[in-house]
Amino acid sequence: MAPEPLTVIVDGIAVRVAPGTTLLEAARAAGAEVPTLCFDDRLAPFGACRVCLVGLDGGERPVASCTTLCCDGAVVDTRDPTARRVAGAVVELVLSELPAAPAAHTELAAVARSFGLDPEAGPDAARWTGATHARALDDRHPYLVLQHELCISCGRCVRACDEVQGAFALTATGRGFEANVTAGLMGESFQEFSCVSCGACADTCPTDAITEHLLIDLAPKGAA
Amino acid sequence: MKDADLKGRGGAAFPAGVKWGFVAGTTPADGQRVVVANGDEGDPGSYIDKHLMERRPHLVLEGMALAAFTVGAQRGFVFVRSEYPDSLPALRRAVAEARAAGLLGANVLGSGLSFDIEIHEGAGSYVVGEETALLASLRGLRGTVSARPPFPAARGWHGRPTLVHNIETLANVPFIAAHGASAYRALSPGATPGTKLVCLNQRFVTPGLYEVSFGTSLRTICDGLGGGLKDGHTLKALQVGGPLGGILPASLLDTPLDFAPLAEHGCMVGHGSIVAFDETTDMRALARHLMKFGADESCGKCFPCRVGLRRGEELLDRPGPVDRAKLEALLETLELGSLCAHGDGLPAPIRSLVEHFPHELELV
Ligand SMILES: Cc1cc2nc3c(=O)[nH]c(=O)nc-3n(C[C@H](O)[C@H](O)[C@H](O)COP(=O)(O)O)c2cc1C
Ligand code: SF4
Ligand code: SF4
Repeated sequence: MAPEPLTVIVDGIAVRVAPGTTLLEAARAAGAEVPTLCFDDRLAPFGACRVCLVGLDGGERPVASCTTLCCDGAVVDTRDPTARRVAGAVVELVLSELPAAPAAHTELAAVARSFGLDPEAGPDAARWTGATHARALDDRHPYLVLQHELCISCGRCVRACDEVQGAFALTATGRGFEANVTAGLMGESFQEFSCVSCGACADTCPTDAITEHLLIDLAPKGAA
Repeated sequence: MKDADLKGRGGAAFPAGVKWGFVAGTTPADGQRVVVANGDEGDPGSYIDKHLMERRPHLVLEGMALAAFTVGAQRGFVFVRSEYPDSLPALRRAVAEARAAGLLGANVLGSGLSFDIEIHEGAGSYVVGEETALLASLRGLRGTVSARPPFPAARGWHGRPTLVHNIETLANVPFIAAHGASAYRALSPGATPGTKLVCLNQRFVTPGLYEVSFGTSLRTICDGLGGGLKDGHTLKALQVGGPLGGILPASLLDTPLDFAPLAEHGCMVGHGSIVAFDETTDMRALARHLMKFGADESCGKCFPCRVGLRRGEELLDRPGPVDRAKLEALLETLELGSLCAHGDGLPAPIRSLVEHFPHELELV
């Protein structure tokens, strides 16, 4: 017998969900838009970006909807002013850590726009400014390029590599503001490590820190 | 344990008896549960667990064994801060002695129960004192925090129900087992049950580790036990309970050392360190130092703390006035956005400084 479904109210709309459903899943099922950066529905929730904050049961403290499970009768407010204010400030902090504005087509740029922030404005437009990540390009892989300075440590590439592909070619490194990702442990490029060139990392990266070399760049020099 | 109302001494003050109930109430598929003693003690100015691990290791091991017996655990670990080179051999020696006496290992004292303890050396990170990061580090993984739930009590070490306790919490358990809950409560009449170890920093005439009843006033602790400040200096403020604790100005020295009265002033008992600042301390420099500590030690998992503490450090580091609205919006983002009590707690001392020393912070 299937377990009894739970009823959750999202922005005034009742939805029935199975036990074990997260607030984020319930909110999206109710048609609410909840922005996220470290979330990818192919991967286990991570709870790092804090952009999915929502109000819960009228409480003062917003909760991360991706890692909070639904209780029967839960009242979720995706427009809770405190949650929106704090999540927007987090996105502003993220824009302040990149040495240049994220490309307009990236998920990060779209999330910034959803908070009314201008992703094109560059790091100095944030309320809090300071160090940005040093530029460091790893283009040793035949198909994939890693621009470390665009990495926001969302862990999606590492988790995609581990959880979807099972290749374990990428790893998170450093701590605090120095957190980043790397291929292998000893400074190898990921192709030398266990990378199978599936591109799952580039596919999920919300900032283009990992991208595929454009095919055109791979064409032999001088080819028409 | 529930009657004794032992509150966790690692900082969060969670009732130990309730946590034991959670772990005992689990139904692990293989019947295996784990007890972990948190000896990562990273709070600057704190050396309570160090003392217990080096001078009273059997008290800690006995507390673990009693906990294991109660919740049904077969394995135990002590996670020891890497900066404590003397704690490791002291604990290892005590484990060997306990095994030789039949108190650890298979079939403890012929009871049919088995419980053994491994001593594990940490790798030098403040946030690895946080329980989910500690369990990751114990498995050889990167020491970053994980979202709870699942709590370690449900899914901890290698997915097994795991009871994580601070060293001092565990050192309280043998007294409770031997003398009962009412004797334990009687140690601090009218206040939180039991006693608290506190340690005073080098600014005091007689710095050191003291055991006090809850409810003892900070004045008694600082002037009576600590003998006041050295070299004729006067007390400006205290930071109680570690870097995530609020800062109490000297004018509030009559506040009792206990959870509720300290919380009224935005402070906490925390793990029990008492760091005095004298009249020569520049509070802007202190605020900057705390933010720098926070930024340097951030595990880097969640975005508000990873970027926000660095921005906080930079905001206070730039010479000249500090924009109060910007600072307060940043503190709110850290408090309400962070995944763990590191990013969420560091604003507390900054808020105290904003409240009590706004001119020194040059807020505009
Ligand atoms: C940043 C951070 C650092 C911590 N450091 C320690 C520590 O060094 N020792 C400790 O016992 N608990 C520490 N804790 C608390 C643990 O997460 C956990 O609550 C505690 O070990 C539980 O034991 P207790 O219930 O006996 O207090 C820390 C928590 C955070 C958020
Ligand atoms: S490279 Fe991209 S996907 Fe990977 S952690 Fe950095 S930002 Fe996230
Ligand atoms: S608050 Fe800081 S220490 Fe805690 S999980 Fe977030 S980044 Fe790590």
